[in-house]
Amino acid sequence: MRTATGPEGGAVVKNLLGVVAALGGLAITLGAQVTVPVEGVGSGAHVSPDRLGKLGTDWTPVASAEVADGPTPRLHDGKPDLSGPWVGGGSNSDIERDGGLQPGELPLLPWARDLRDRREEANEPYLYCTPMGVPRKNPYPWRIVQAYTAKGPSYIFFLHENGDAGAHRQVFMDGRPHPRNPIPTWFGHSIGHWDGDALVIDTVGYNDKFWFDSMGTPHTEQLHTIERYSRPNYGTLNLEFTLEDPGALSRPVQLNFSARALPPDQDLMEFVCSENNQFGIAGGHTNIYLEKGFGLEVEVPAQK
Amino acid sequence: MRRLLVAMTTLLTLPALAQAQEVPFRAGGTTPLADMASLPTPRMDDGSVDLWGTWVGGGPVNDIAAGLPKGEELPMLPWAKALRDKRTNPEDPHNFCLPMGVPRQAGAFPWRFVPYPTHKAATHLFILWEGFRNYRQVFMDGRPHSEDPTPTWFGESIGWWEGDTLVIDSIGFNDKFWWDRAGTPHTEQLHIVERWTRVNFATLNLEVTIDDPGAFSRPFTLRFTAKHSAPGDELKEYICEENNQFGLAGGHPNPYRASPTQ
Repeated sequence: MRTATGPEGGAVVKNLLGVVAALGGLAITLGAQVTVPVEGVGSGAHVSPDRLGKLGTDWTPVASAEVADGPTPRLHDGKPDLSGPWVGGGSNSDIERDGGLQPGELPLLPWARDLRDRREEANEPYLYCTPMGVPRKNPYPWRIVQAYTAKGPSYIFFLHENGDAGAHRQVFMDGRPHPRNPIPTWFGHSIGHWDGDALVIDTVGYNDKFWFDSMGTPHTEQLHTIERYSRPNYGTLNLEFTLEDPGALSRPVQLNFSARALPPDQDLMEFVCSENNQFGIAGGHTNIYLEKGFGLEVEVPAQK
Repeated sequence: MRRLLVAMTTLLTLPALAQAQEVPFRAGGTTPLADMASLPTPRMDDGSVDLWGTWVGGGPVNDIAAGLPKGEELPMLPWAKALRDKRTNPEDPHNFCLPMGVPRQAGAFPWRFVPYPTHKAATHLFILWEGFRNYRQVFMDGRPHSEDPTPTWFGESIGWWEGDTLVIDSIGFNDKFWWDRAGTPHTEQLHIVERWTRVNFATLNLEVTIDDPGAFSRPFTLRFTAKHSAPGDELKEYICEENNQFGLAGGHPNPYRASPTQ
């Protein structure tokens, strides 16, 4: 049972999560936010000022420094154990800043920058219990599960505690290629391989429906991502993230994220977004996607 | 090819197979669906059963009583039977993208067992479903149940191996999910013990004992069978909350909107 951040005990944390989690990305972008990564937090998982100096995000603890400095755990075949659980390690409120770029450095095409500026946080699709997509991470735990059969690595799954309706992401590790014309999906079609101790995941076939961050940075179905994960010690999962989208970016760009491990005794908890989601569905907030569905609100200008 | 969900009330009992003809199977050959049952149960290097596969079925769909031996009836207490008779299919919580719980979630769409780490040393076992993209977590590390678990849709599950049978013991369920389209209810006293046995390559048998003194006069045991899906079939992406024409997006009255699920 995760330790409560408040004076009460575990049951309150679960209830708190049920309500606060439904506010998800919106709650953490309102109010004063610390933008500089702080110890034990990692990128993409911001905290409010009263948590400065404390480990973890407002809702998720991280491993102590002594535990985090420990060696990288390994699986039976010698590969790094990337299980976690982790917190952070992706974009949250601003993919440009969360990914280590300077303001304006993300090479968005004019239509994409314009759309980002017009979008409102309250309309982020993930608040309506749809998947976060890639590389979005809210400040709640997630896991990488490395599956094996008798013949070796078969699949890798990303499990999120919340924010995406319990959705899991699937990575094929058996050497298959991408399909010629994948049906666009929220998580795309992912194929992965090991490059020494680094896990490399190549993904195409994304739809254009999720936002990269609560600010609304858009992408198109031409999105192609390459993730390179490495775990230098127990407590750290680094992600070198190549973002390529000729429909929305003028050139590919490299971002860097870093996730932090939870204490070893922590597990993912159940979260069911569709139940009692006070934001949107159950709360009577205007769901702009009811009529028009998800997806880019504008026509993507033809590229030269 | 893709199974688009148009209306939640027309759940398929078996998904359409992605491809009709033989396709190269990951194991390294072409294996027609029909012949897979004649292959032996696969094992890991350490001799433990390999539960890996794309499974279909293994749970109730229309009526949980389908898992009973012929001639047996569900030993429902009178209030439970009355509630079941009163419930109507459009009120099924899963129409509103809420979980189906245990053991129903295994009934309609493909799913997988995913142990972590490798099978014999597993500390966790995840059960991943295509439908609703839920997952369930089973603790395999020998921990006992907690004293007073917060009620959840999938409960608190601990598991272990008894020879070649995977045993999963679960408590801590909420009373919110329906066991079937008929609306068979249960209470928070529910205690479920599942026994999964892969008898050959393509067949996974489930013997599940239900013990809920709040809704039933005695424990009872059901049997279901999961079959391996066609070679090359994968779990596909399925996002219930997107374009759910029943309930959420379709403007159908949602009986759970104002109050917690009954």
